[in-house]
Amino acid sequence: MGRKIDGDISRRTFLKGTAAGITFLTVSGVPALLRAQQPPIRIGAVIPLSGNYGFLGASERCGIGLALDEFNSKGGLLGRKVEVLEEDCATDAALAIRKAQRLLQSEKVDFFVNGGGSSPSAAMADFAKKEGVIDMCIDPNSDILTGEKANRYFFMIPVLNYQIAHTIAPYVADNIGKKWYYFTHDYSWGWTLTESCRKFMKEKGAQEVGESKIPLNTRDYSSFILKVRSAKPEVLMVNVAGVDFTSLVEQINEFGLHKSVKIVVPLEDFEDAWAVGPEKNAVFTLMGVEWHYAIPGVSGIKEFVDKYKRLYPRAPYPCPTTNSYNTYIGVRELLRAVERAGTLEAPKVIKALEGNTFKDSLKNDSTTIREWDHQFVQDFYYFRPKKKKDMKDWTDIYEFVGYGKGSEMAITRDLSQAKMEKLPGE
Amino acid sequence: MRVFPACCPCRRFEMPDAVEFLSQGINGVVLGLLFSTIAIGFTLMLGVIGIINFAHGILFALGAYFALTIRNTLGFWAALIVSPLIVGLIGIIIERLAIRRMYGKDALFCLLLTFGIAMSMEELIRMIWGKLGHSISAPAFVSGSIDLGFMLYSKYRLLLAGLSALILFLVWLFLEKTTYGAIVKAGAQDAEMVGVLGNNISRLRTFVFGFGSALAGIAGVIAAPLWSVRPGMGNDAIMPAFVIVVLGGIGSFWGTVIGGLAVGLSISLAVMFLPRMSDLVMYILAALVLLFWPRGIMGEKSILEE
Repeated sequence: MGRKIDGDISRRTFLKGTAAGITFLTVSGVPALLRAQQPPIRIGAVIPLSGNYGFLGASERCGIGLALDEFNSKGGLLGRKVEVLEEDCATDAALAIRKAQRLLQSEKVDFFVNGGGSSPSAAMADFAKKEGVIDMCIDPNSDILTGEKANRYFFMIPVLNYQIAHTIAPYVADNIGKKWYYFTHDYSWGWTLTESCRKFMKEKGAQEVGESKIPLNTRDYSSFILKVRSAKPEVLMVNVAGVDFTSLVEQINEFGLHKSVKIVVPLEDFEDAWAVGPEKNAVFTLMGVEWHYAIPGVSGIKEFVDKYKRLYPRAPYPCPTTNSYNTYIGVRELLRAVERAGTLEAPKVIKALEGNTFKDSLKNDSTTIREWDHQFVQDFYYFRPKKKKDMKDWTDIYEFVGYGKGSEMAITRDLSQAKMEKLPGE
Repeated sequence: MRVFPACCPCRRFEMPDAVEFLSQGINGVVLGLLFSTIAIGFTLMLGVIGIINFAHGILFALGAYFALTIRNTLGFWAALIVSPLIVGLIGIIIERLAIRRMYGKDALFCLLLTFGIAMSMEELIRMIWGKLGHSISAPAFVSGSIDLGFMLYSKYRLLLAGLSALILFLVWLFLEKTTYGAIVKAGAQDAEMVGVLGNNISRLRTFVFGFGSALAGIAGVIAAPLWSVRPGMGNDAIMPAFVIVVLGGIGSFWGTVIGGLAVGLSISLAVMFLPRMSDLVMYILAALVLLFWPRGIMGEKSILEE
């Protein structure tokens, strides 16, 4: 029995007060405790920071950051912060898988984003299926990735070769020339792009006068360029990318090849054009581009570009490129799907992604995540080089010519090899 | 004219005409002269002082990078003179600090050492000049193409062929017509005897390494506008250098020139007939030559046989 002593606190009061104090502190501290205990949502990014496509990694990093910022600046996703862990795949498939294993097993990432071209991406598609973890693939363009390699865990953001050829080839045959020579980068992306171009070229009555398969890491193109001249084509289709493309363009300038033949690049990365500079890039008559801020009349582009410049004032590229765009869209849509599903569980997030259409695609038409092949079906553009006197700055290199709608140009189901497996529980 | 069956990868083969042969032949000679220039420093080091210098590629790259920096302030001709001198100095430092510990030891030790030097210097290049590649234009007076009648050719490549031929001529002149050149050649045959005759062998070796490095550097300067400047560009030099030296014969000046021309011409011919093999053909050529001439076309017994 507590005895109250004048001026002193009784034992009972003391105990009540302590209990109240502890309760108050605990209740008010619970959110902080919860947050401190809630680990962040982790995305493993296996991207090219070196190798033939090493410069793409820099753009992709910015794209990831832009998407993460949209969620983290508003309190996170499902109450948790989202963070990214990067690993360099150096454009190599085996290295990409080793790094992905480490990210999954040691770092326990919840989702993956991958880049580095078709080879590491094909390997990552198998990895995603085997491990049951979602992978958003953000830079290659080979049709095999939504064909044979398609599976429920793997999503392809970029436009694919079939659609690129379907958009560009008919325009070239109708407006530029009918006798074509191909430079084909000697690996699966190059082969499939040339094959698709050939199909539409023939449909439009144009003819092939020659092809040169360009081995990867070719430094000297002089002999290839001389060979083109002797075939006397009207159009040269340059299906070459990366560092090799940069060397090729410099040497095309050197030999003045563009003075005697019109040169078309069905798929150009801004990073490649930046490396050669707008004057040398002006050898092209037409360039196929997935995304650039020069697309007219689309809302949201200016804000996207301004945000990029604000967040990344010292980025290697002063404006967002296709690769920043694809990465941003891929990660953003993944996080939105997690939000819609209300969980990190892969099967539920997959179902939230499949079939989803979003209007804020920063392109003329909405983009749809097609459920039977997991392709982000979207518009594809073509530009001509902007005249130097019209350029506002060094990034303003493209003048809009036209575009093809994704819904009309993407590969159709009857031509696709995609076969989706059932998820556990279906 | 289809020569191969439909199943063969060469099925699109069409016999090239005389104009194409001539233009590819000229291009092959131009490339060959550049390759010879790239390889000559490597051959001197291997033949005279018995060093397999895997850092030859990175010295080539440094030549290009210094040219990139110097050209912006002082112009092409200044870069052509100053850049190789700096690279030669770097070569002397490397020789003094590291290479001289390898003399008399198994050649493989030196290979490993220079390989390590190459790797670390490539990272240093990335730290100083950045990871991205740089495009470097030909000097204004040779930019663009020239109409030779039957073909359009690059003006810069014609200058490059001239510069390569001049560099090779000056090296030949030094080796054949100067006293110190004779000492250098004698050192390749019998270093001990040269020492006994009163010459400073240590200084000779340092000179040869520095000279070989400077040659790698100047090759980098003239190749830069062609192949652009990238941290990994050393590989474009070290592999052909190795092949040319093995093909032409270790320690042989003319072997290197013939080897370089053979590699240049084989690449051009491969593009005409089997373009997909164009990056492999120099290795196939080397393998074939070694079957019949194990020391290369003009080679003599060397450190590789010990």
